[in-house]
Amino acid sequence: MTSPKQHSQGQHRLVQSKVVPKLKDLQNIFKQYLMHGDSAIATHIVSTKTFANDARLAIYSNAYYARLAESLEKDYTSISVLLGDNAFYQLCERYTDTFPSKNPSLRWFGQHMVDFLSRTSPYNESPYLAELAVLEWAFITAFDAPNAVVATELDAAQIPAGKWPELTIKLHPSIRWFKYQWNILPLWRATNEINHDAAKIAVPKLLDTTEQCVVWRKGLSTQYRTLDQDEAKLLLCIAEGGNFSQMCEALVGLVDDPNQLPMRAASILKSWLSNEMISHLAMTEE
Amino acid sequence: MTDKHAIKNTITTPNVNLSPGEHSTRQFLGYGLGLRTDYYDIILNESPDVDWFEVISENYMVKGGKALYYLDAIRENYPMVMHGVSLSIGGTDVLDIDYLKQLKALVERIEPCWVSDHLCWTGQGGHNLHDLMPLPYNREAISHVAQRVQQVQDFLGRQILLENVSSYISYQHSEMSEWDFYSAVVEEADCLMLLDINNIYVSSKNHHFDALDYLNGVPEQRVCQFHLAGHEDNGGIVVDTHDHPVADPVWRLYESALRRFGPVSTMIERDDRMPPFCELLDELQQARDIGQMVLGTVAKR
Ligand SMILES: [Fe+2]
Repeated sequence: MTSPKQHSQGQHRLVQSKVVPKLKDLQNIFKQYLMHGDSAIATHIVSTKTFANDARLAIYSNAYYARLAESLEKDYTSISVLLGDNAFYQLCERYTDTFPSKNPSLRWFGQHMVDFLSRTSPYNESPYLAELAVLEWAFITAFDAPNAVVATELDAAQIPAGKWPELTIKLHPSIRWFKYQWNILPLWRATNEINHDAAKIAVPKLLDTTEQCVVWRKGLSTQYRTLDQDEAKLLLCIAEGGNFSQMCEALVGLVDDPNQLPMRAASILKSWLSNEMISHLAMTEE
Repeated sequence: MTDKHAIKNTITTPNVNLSPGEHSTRQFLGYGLGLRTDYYDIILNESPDVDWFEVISENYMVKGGKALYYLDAIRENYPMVMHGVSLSIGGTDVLDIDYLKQLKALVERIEPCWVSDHLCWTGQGGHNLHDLMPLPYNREAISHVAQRVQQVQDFLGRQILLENVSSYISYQHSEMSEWDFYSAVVEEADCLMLLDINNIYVSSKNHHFDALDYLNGVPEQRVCQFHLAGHEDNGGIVVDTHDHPVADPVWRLYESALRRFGPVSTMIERDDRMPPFCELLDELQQARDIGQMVLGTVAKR
């Protein structure tokens, strides 16, 4: 990270505040300095011969932006690589000013990035940035999503044929999926290679058709892949509470032979089971 | 550490329950390191010779996944203490009850030997600054912090440790030295102390005081843990960075601290420019060697 936001330095402030501020007011004044560069705090800070109060205070304001930028850089590595250090640092400063942290854990600090990038110029003129942010935030939220048991193909095999139509499916809590129009997957891969070569990073480009990507956690590791159109339909159907026969209906139009609908739905389900994307298969009671 | 397993057996009781003055009951855990993601696998697979680990509480305030998996697995093999960075005990917003609930849940999960945070404020007006902001050293701040520590201790049902932070500024309206302030807070709150030896050194350079006056000025019986860490000396000012090995003057100050306080559980904090794990083990050995030299074989309280 380069060029941290510098507040004015080097001027001794000899005026002391005569009034002792209440702790709450003092903290508010200090915060206003960190967040908005308001220099009122300086009159409450001691200057020494070797180091003036402004320079002392600057350590805190530089650290404020640098620490938050570091957190955003970890969360949004692709975006930081695509923009380069300086432009990304600038983005971080603007983001920090727009969405200052309100959570005790830095884990949540980047949660408004998609919103920020889609609404703020010049970033919203490059829509692939917001799409990449969706992907990168999905990785973060899948990574520490709640643990859950996973259903297996063996569980599916034990379901009597007559129970299948009413079968409901519970997805693993780490699953999230989304649509995108830019080549964000190649972009993400190129920018996340350990020794990525900036010159060789794929150029952002619009896809011929909209794609969908699913992100989830298998064991401890986060996974992602593109979704086929029929898979995407099924995921949506399940998310809306649909049972197996409704899943089959959701595939109408995507499978040529209507008799093949249950087979197709079951085979997709099977691949999800083997990938630990399903946490529960529920039969209705007799 | 001569008998690591004996200590492991004693740590299942989570409460420290220290009465000031009875320092013979204070647990000496030996020499520890911070639990950091870079070293999860090596710690789990190779069971390195580290007596205990300190975990950053906020990193485990999550629902599931890798962090909790390693936390639980490594806890099976090592004593742990919890160290927070966002309690904002010196803050003026009401205590964050949501945060405290998460902290308590984690205490129940980990059963740490103790729980610590910093004597500072970390936010105001609903904003989190994610930095350890210094307090003015005056009466108002002492009663304010002490009263909040008591609330936290009541909520958690145990004493907590407060750590001194590095600072780069001092307030016009401070009325006393940092160590007098720190001592007054822990006495009034009846809590314990985590002395960061590096922070004492850093602040002594930045505010031109004698670090030994600091060591001599705090109540001996309340000191339960030491931190050691690296800093960056920029000439004019010294910054607490945790990205370097422990510096020589800090080792010397550690030696003085051991002479004054006797055996105190010690750990090295490293948070950036992470070296190979074996380098941290070597550094920890340096702490052990100093402990051995100063304390001889009497290494347990
Ligand atoms: Fe520390």
